[in-house]
Amino acid sequence: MDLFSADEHDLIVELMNLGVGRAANALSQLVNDEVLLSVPRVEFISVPEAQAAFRKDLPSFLAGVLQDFEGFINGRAALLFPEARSLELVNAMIGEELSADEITELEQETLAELGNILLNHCLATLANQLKQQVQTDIPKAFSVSAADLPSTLSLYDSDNENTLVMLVQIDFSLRHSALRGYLAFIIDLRSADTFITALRSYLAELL
Amino acid sequence: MHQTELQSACLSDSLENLDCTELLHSLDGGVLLLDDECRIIFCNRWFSRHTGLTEQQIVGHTIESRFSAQLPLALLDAIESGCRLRMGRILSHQLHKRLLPLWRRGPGGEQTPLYQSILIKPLSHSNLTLVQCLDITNAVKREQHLRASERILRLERSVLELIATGDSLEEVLLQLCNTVESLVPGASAAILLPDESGRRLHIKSAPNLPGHFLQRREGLGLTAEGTTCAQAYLSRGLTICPDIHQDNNWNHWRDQAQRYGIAACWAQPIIAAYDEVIGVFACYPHNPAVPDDTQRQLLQRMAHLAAIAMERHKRIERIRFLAMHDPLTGLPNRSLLNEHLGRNLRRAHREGNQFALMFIDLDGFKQINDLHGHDAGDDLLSVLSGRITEQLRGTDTCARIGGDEFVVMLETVTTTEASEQVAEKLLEFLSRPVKRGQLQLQVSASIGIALYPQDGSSADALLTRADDAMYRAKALGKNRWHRLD
Repeated sequence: MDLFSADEHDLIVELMNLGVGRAANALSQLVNDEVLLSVPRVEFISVPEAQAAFRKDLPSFLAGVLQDFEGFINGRAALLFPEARSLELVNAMIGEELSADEITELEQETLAELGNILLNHCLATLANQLKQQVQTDIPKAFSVSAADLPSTLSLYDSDNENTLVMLVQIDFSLRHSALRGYLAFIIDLRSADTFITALRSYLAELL
Repeated sequence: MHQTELQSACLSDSLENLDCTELLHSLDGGVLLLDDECRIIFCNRWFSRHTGLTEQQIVGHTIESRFSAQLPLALLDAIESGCRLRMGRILSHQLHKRLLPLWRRGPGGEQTPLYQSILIKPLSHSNLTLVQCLDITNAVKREQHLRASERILRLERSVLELIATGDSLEEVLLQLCNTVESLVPGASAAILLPDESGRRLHIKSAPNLPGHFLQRREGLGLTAEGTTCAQAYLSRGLTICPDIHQDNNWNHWRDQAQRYGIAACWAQPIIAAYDEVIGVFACYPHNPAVPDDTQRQLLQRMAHLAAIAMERHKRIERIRFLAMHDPLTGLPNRSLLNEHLGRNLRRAHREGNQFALMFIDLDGFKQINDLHGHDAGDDLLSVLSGRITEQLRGTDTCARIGGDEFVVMLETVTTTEASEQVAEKLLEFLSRPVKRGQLQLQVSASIGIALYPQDGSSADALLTRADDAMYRAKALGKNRWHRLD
């Protein structure tokens, strides 16, 4: 999708990296250990394209955290990992070595907070840098099969026309483990104009 | 569509008549409403009940000014970013062990900190932020329980593997003690076993108690006045002494125990098959304490594993014994004799010692069997084998290698005459009658002697030489010993 120019795209990548960097900082302080996060790739794709990408790159069971947002852009943000490894991430974060095979209520909450910190920082950084406002709802952790993922993520019932997905690959690296996940920002296209305007005025100021 | 509209119209009618404040008050969980300056404009009853503050003491303040120094920075940040920046947040228990100073009243009226997680939700179309405190005490307890059981399972598996791979019993018992110590922090563990008389308990394994403690506790009397472990052994059930200062049975041991940091004792009997008590698993907390359910269960499971390991060890020892001994007389068999003989040869060679081998064959044993039956013959063999061993030193060996054939190995002899004297004595004791009911059974013996190194330098050579000498003794008229020139 050529909604954004090359410059605008680069700017978004830069802002995502900034946001993810701040999130890594916050997480490191929280768990008293070094958490490194990086964003190897950002792409803007349609909902069907996003589904194809998930199907290709992610296993059939996923764990994740959802958070709705509204403001200069409206939509739903999600952090997604392979389900089997989400528990590993939680355990690495809280410094537990042992763990049950299944994620417990408490671990579900911890996962929600990890996603919460990450998504908030990304959205807040995006909004701040572009001098815009954004508001986020409370996060929800979930587990879902890859087949059911689209309905979990979609904003309106099968209204894919008006939806754009900003898919951000994200690499976690902790002292004893590393894993790759996705941040998916499902953006209501009807709010995309504000987004583009904000990006353009930011770029205009740089020149 | 029409239906849904009707329902929502109904709902809004009902909601208009509903007292929202009352609704929030009735919720089971803390609810606060904050304005965009982080000031509390509402708190529900649950929240004031669990903080111990009245509504008046809370409303109008910010959370920071009300609870000031007690709050973690992460919580203050989250509230700020919720109220001012409109960012929704969750603060989970696992990442924030301490959040708001909320208390829970226990069954006995005591106050314990409440495990919580907090949700911060900026409300749409309003400048208010909802703060929800969730009591997750039960979930935390479930989780702790789950983690503890998992650790036990993991440790149990490693102990079972140790048992299965046939590692030494000592190793397994040490591992069991270590397991208890790692799951009951601030306690030492020990395994005590009774001696053969069954009158005293001895410490068998105690990885973290000092050596001289083990020695002093040598001989813990198994009487009703004994310490907790003795009582557990006798009562066959978990016995708990929460504080050794309150227990008169500890009078004698208290000073020593105190020196090793022992303040209490929980003793779980180790019970084998057929309900036989075969030992005691002891846990010595360093502070007065009573075990909780998880700890009781742990002691039980560890004692059970100890029982499995000990029984298995006993069975293996038994199998090993049976493979190396004659079942009738309990004497070593030919295999064990060969082992001892080989070992003694190497030693004699190394140290330049002399030793003697005697081949003993009973005279007239076949007639006893034919005349009085095999049972009489067997009894006679048992008695005579006892008489032989009585004449020997502990380091000598007497093996039964055939029906009425024995081989005696004198571990060292200084002179040829010494072995001859032993042979004389054996002839005398073997020819004394054996009383069996009304019967007097009597045999004699022919003994062939071979000396190392004079008569041979290998096991085979020495045995053949002794055997030949025994036949010579028979040929010379029996009831005598002979050594070939």
